[in-house]
Amino acid sequence: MTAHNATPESAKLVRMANQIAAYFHAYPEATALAGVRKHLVDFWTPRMLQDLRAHAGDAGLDKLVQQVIPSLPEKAA
Amino acid sequence: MSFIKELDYGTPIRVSEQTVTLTIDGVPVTVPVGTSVMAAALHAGTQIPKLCATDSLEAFGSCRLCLVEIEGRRGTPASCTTPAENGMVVHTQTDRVAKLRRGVMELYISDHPLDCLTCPTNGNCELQDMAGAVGLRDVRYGYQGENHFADAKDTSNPYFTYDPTKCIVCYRCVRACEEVQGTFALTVTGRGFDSRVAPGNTNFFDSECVSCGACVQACPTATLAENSIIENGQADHAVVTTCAYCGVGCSFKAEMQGNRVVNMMPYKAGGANEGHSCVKGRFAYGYATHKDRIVKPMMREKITDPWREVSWEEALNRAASEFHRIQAAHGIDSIGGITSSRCTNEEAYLVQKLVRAGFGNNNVDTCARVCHSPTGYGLSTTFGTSAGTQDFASVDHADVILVIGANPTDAHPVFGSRMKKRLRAGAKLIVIDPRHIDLVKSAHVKADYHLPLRPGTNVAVLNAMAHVIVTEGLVKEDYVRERCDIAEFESWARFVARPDHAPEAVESRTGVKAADVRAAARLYATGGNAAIYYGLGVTEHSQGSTTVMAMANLAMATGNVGHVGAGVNPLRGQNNVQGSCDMGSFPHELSGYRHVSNEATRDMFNTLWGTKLRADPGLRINNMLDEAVEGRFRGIYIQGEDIAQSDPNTHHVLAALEAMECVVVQDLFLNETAKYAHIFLPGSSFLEKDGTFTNAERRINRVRKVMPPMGGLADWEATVALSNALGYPMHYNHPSEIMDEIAALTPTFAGVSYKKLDEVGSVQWPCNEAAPLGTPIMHMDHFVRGKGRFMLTEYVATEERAGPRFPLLLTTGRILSQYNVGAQTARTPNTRWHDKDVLEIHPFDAEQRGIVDGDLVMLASRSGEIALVAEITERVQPGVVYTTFHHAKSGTNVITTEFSDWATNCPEYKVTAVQVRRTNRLAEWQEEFAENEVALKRIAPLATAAE
Repeated sequence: MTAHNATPESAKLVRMANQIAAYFHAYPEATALAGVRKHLVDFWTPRMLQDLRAHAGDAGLDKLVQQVIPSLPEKAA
Repeated sequence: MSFIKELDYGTPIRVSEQTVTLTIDGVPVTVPVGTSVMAAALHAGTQIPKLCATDSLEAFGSCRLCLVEIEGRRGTPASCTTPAENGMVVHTQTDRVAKLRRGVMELYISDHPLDCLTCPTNGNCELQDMAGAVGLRDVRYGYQGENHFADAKDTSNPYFTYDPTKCIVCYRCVRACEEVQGTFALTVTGRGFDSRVAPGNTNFFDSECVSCGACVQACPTATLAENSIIENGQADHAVVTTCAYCGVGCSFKAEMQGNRVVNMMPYKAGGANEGHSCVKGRFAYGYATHKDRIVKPMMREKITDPWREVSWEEALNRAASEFHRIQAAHGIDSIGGITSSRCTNEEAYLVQKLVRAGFGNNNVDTCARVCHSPTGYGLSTTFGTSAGTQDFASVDHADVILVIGANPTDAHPVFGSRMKKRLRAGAKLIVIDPRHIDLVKSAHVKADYHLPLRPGTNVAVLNAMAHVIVTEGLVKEDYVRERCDIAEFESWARFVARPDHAPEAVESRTGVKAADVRAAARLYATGGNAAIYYGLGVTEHSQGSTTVMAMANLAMATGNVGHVGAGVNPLRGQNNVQGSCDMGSFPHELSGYRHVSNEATRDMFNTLWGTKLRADPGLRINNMLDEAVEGRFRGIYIQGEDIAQSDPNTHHVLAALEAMECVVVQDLFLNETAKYAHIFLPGSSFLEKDGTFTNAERRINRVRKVMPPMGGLADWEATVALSNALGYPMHYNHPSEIMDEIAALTPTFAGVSYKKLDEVGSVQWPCNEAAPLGTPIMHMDHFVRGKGRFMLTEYVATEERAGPRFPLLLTTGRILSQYNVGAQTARTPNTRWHDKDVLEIHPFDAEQRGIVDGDLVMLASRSGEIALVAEITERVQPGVVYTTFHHAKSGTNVITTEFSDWATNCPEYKVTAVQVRRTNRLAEWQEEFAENEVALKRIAPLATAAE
C-alpha cells in the first residue's frame, strides 16, 4: 500500500502515527525513537502495525516513525 | 428489610483529637472539642427535642425547643448553640424546660393546619414527633387567630411542592440552600408574623433553585415535600444503593413501597456525598421504569426489518451463532465488544472476560475511550497508576483550587457544592476554561483568576505556568529531590524554562493575559495546599494526554501530590468510568491496569479462566469502526453504550455500524445504536441488580437490587448466558462471586469483598493486605511507580483549525439538568429545564451574522451540519460557540471530527472549526433522523411476529 492508493482509514493510521511522533519530538532522538516504538507496540494491534509498515517510505510519514518501522514486531506477540 | 432511619445529631459532627468530658442527665460522656451539648446528649443516648437543628447544618438556635439547664449557668441555653465543655453538668429534662418547650410547641401549632391524617409526611414529620416528645395536649391560644392557612401552594417545580401553610420558618431550607448546596436561592421575606420562605420574587421553577432537594430533605414539616411522596405516601422499606449518574457516585436510600421507588433520599453515611444530592440522582430516576423500556429480547435480519420479539434463548443462540459464523469466515479478530461505564464493575469485568476468553481476542474497549482515557495514560505515565490522587473530602483542606476544563457545578454538582463550601471558607480559585462557567462568579464565589483560553491551548497555558514556577524559583526542591526522578525533572525544567514557553510568548496563541498566567502560577505554587480538578475540557483534545501530564508536572514541581488538600483529580463523567477502566476494559490491559503482554499476569488469568489469552493489544472503538468500514470488523457486542450518538463524526459511526453483519445491543432503550442493530438484549437499570460502582475518588460503593429486572435478567446474567451460548462457560450465582474473582486476580482489589463493603460501607482502592480499609489518598510516601516522572509536554496545535470557511471554534459540554446522551434524563421531567440543545454564541459573533436570540441557525463544520436554536450569551468568548449533546435529534456529533488524542484516541470533542448562519430549515441529517426514528425502530406486532 502506498500513499497514493491509501484508503481514508489507512491514512488515519499515518496521521495517528505522526501524532505520536509529534509528541516524542520534544525528546532527544534515541529517547524519542524508543518512545514511539513502545507506544506503537503497546497500543496498536499487529494488523495496524502491519498496515503501517506498508506506508514505510511515504513522504507524509514522520521520520521518527519511518526509523521505527523496521523494528516493529512482524507478528502477534 | 427495614426502613433506614439515620440518627440526626442536630449539629455537625466535629472531628478533633482533643476531647471534653461532661455529664448529661447523670451520664458522663466524652466528645470531641467543638461538639454541641445537643450532639453530646445523643452520644449519651438522649435525644433533645429540636426543630431548627439538623446535623447537616450549623446550629441556628431559633426554635427554642432544645433548651436545657446547665449547672452554674443562668437561664436555659439552647443546646444546639452551646458547645460542650469539660466538667459541664447538663439536665435535658426538667420541669422548667419541659414547660418552656411545650409553650413553644403551642405557638407553632396554633398556626399549623391540623390535617396530620391527610398530610403527605404523616408518620415522617419532625413537627409531629416533637409535639409528641414535649407532651403537647392542647393549645391555649386556640386556632382562630391570625394564621397562614390561606397561603397558596407553589407547585411549579416538577419534583416537589412548597406548601407555606405548614411552614414554621425554622430556616432549615434556607440554610441548606446556602450551607449545603451553596446556591443561595432561598430567603425569608417579611418580618415577624409575615416571615415567609421564598425563592426570590418568583416561584421555585423560575428561581435560581437547582432542585438539588437539600431544602426538601431539611424541612422538618410537610412544607417542602417530594411530589412522589405526596402522590404515593411514605415508603415501607429502604435500601442503600449508589446513583447511576455522574462519577461522584452518591449514596442514596432507595425508599420503596414494595418494588416501587417512591423516593431517593441521599444517604448521610455515603462517603462520596455525605447526605447531599443533585436534581438528577435525587429526582430524575423515573427513566428506570419509563414506558420506552424494552423488556423483551428482539431480533431482525436487516436493520430495515421490524424488530421481532423472541425468547432470551433464541436471541442469545442467534448472537452466538452469528459471532461464530463471522469469525469462521473473517478471522478471529473480526468481532469485539464494548463495556459500559454505566454498568457495574462486575458487568464490565464479565464483558471483557467474554471478549478475551470467549471471542479469543483483545478487541474490547469502553466508553471511557471517549472521555477519560487520557487520564489513564497521563497519570499512569507520571505517577504510576490510572486514577485520581485524592478523596473528595480532601478539598476541605485545599488552600488553592485549580479547576481546568471542568464545570463541577453543572456536571458534578454534589462535589461542586463541596468545593464551593471550601471556597466560601477562603480557599483561592483559579479557573482555566474558555467559558465563563458558574464558578468564575456566582453567589459568594469568585475566581481569583479566570484564564479564558482559546479552545485547544491547554498545554500552552500549563507550560507557561510551569515556566513561571521554574524561572521564578518556585519549585519545591526538597520534595522533587526526594520524591521524583531528578534527571527527568531537570530535563523538564530546562524544557519549560525555554523563552518560547513564557506567558508573554504564548499570549497571542492562548488568548490569556501573560500577567494573569504569572499571577495564577505564583498562587498555585505558593498559596499552600494546591489541588487540581479537571474534566473533559482537558482530556477531549488532540493533546489530552499531554495536558494530563502537564498538570502532573505542575503538581510534582510544587510538592502537591501525596498529602491532603492537594493532588490531581479527574472528575469522571459517568458513574463507573473509573470502575470500567479498573476492570480491564481497555484493549491493551487486564484488570488493575496490567498490560496484556505481561506474561506473569496472563498466566494468572489463564489459570483461573482456563484459557490462553492473547498478548497483543486489541482494537480501540475508533479502530473497530475504521476496520468495519474497511470490511475487516463485522460483529460487535455493545453493553450499555450508545456510540451512534456519543461518538464523534456520526456519519462515520453509522457507516461502520451499517457495514457490520451482527450488532448486538444490550440497553434499557432502543437507543441510536440499536437502530443499526440486529439483536437487542434488554438491559437492567441500577435498581434491578446487585453490584458495585467505583467513583472518581476510587471509592467502591455497593449497588443493591431493589426490584426484579424488568427484562428478566440482570445485565451480568445476560453476559453469562451469552458466554455460555458461545461455548465459553461462566458460572456465577451472584455478583459477589464475580467480585471475589476480581479480587483474586487484581492486586489493587485484593481486599475487596461484598462482606467488607456491607460492613464498612465503601472502600477506596488500593484495598489489599497493605491497606485493608482502602486508600483515601494515593502516593503518600512514594509514587506508585517509585519516583515521580516529569514528562516533556510540547504544545502541538491541533490539526483542526479555524479559517475563512469555518472561523469559529465549537466546544461541547453538558448542563446540570441533563446527562450525557439524554437516554436517562430526557425521559424525566428534567426536560422542563432543557428540552433541546441550544448553541451559545457571543453577542459580537451573533451581530456579525445577523443572529438574534432564539433564531434557528445552521452550525456547519467539515464533518457536517445541524440546525440549533441560538442563545446569545457572554458566557462564551468571541470566536467560540458552545452546545450540549443531550438530545439525539440535535445530532451534535454530526459536527465533531475524528481528530483525537495522540496517545489514546480520545476524540477531540472540544475543538471543532465551525461556521454559523441563520436558517429556516433543519439540516438534512436531522430530517433523516426523524424518518429513521420510525423506520429503524419498528417493532412487529406480536401476532405478526408469531406468524
